Amino acid sequence: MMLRTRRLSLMPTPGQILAFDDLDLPIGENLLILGKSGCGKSTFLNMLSGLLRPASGNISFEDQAYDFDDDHILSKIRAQNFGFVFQRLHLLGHLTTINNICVGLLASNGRQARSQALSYLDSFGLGDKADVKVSELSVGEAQRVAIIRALVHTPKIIFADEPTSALDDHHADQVMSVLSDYSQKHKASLIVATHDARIQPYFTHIRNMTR
Amino acid sequence: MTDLSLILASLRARLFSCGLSFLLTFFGVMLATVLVLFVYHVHHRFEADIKGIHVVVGAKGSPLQIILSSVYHVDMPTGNIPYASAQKIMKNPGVKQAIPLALGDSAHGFRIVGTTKAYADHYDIALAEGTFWDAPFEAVVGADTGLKTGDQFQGAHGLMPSPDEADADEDHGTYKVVGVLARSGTVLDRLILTDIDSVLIIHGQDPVNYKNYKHEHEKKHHDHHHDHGHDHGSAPEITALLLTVKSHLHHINLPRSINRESDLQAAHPPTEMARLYGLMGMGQKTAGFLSVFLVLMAALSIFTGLANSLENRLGDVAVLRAIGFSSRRVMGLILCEAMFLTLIGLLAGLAGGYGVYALLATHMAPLSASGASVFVLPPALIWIIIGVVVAGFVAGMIPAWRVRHLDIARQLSRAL
Repeated sequence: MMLRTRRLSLMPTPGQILAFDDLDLPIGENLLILGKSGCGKSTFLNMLSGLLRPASGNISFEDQAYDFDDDHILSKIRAQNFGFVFQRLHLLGHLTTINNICVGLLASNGRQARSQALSYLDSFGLGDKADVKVSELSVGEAQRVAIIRALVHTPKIIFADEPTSALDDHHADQVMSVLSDYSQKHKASLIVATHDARIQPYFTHIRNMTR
Repeated sequence: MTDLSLILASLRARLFSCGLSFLLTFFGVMLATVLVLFVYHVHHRFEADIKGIHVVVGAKGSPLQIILSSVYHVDMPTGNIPYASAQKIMKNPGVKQAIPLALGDSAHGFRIVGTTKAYADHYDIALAEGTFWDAPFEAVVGADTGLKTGDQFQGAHGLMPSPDEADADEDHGTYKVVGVLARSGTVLDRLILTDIDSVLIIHGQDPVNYKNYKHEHEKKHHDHHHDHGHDHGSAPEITALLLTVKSHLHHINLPRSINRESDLQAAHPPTEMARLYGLMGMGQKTAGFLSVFLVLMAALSIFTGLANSLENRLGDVAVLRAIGFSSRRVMGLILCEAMFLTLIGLLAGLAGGYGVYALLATHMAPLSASGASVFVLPPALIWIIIGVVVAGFVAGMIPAWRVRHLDIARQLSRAL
């Protein structure tokens, strides 16, 4: 099993308990976490990716349980196995395009970082933007850079938080095609938290969340 | 792409703030270095040169000036004293050793000192080559003079280094180097020693050791004008006496009796040096406070620079944490930024401090005359280096510690 959760809960405020259904996600399967804003889908995604410690319950990746007290191991799991596409892209503004991508490889201690990153940039039509500061890129270009950063180290799971919410149909379809193609090609899981129901056709597992 | 290039990119992104931190560290360390080197030299030199000299006797005047001119050879003498009066003191039962000094001339910027062999013996300095003098106008030179056995040179009137070597003329004697002293790290490294009679004869006075010595300069100098008050009679005069006394009691009583009963002035080196340190102390303290203040400002500037930049970049830090940088690694990056700034400021400050001190040691008369060396590492400077490194570490550690407790998910959900 790629990802498994048991009896997960969170205490957003004292006295308030948010409980989450158990999850068993097989290798290579995709998951869409659908729900309105504030329903806890991003929270669930953050817990699955090890960015947020649950109040109770446990999570395991490839049968290895998350130990939130061992930052070193958890960081290593994220660096080597997970890719992230954030809602607000979160590119590092003081770095160039190529270095924003290389940071992803640096985290996973990847080798041949620059050539690998350059070949990705070329395949995304951004080869001439390699040494440009990301602050000078258009929104569309920045989105592609954020996706390349998530994929460049060939992760086993891609976590994406609202990757298409701000995009029109055409661009939303483009982004999902890239992520879905990667997932199929590398037998990686794609886990997306969104309120954007347009992307449902890309998923076999859909979890609707309500508060 | 390496962690180092991440650090450098971060430093480049806040060039102005980093430049300010660097300059503060640089100036603080440079000022502290110059100050420490200067104080170290002064103390070291004063202690080495005053070794075993309990009382210095000279003409009436400032006792501090007597010590500076006769022990350290950095000031003009207060005047001359009759050799007969000096002899009385030399024969005093409380005197263990008396070294007469006759000053007045110099060569190539080094003082010619008419004295006895006891002067070199007092500092335990052996000959590196040659022999001691056996006649007037034979000279034994210090290691820094650049002269060697067999060289001949002419004395010039006046004690301070003259910019115009034309001052050297035959009227002030032609000397022959017969020996070179081994380097001792004392004032003797920069002196030219000769028999006391050389100086007396040159200044038209009767010799005291080589009574029958007849030198052509004796007549030549009969009419020579001296601007520092030499008598032109035949009675010999010297400049000072360096005394070592037999007991603590004599150490106290001898200067008193000399000052009370004669026209001479006895100076007590520890008292005068304490006074000099007192005079220098205020300046030292002010410069010391200023350098500590600058170094603290530098540490504060590194801290605020990092803290501000971290505040603005918590989103970036959260991204690094999310994509797999451990908290320890991100803390290391921030700490390295602080240490990088601190260390380049420190190294540049040390280089600048040593550079400025080297310039001062070459061009500032009291330092160059006293043989100030830049090839030293005073213990105080090691403490300053440790202090700056610790300050930089603390300045980096405080913002780095925040990263350890960063809520990644919450930070990522915030707007950039």
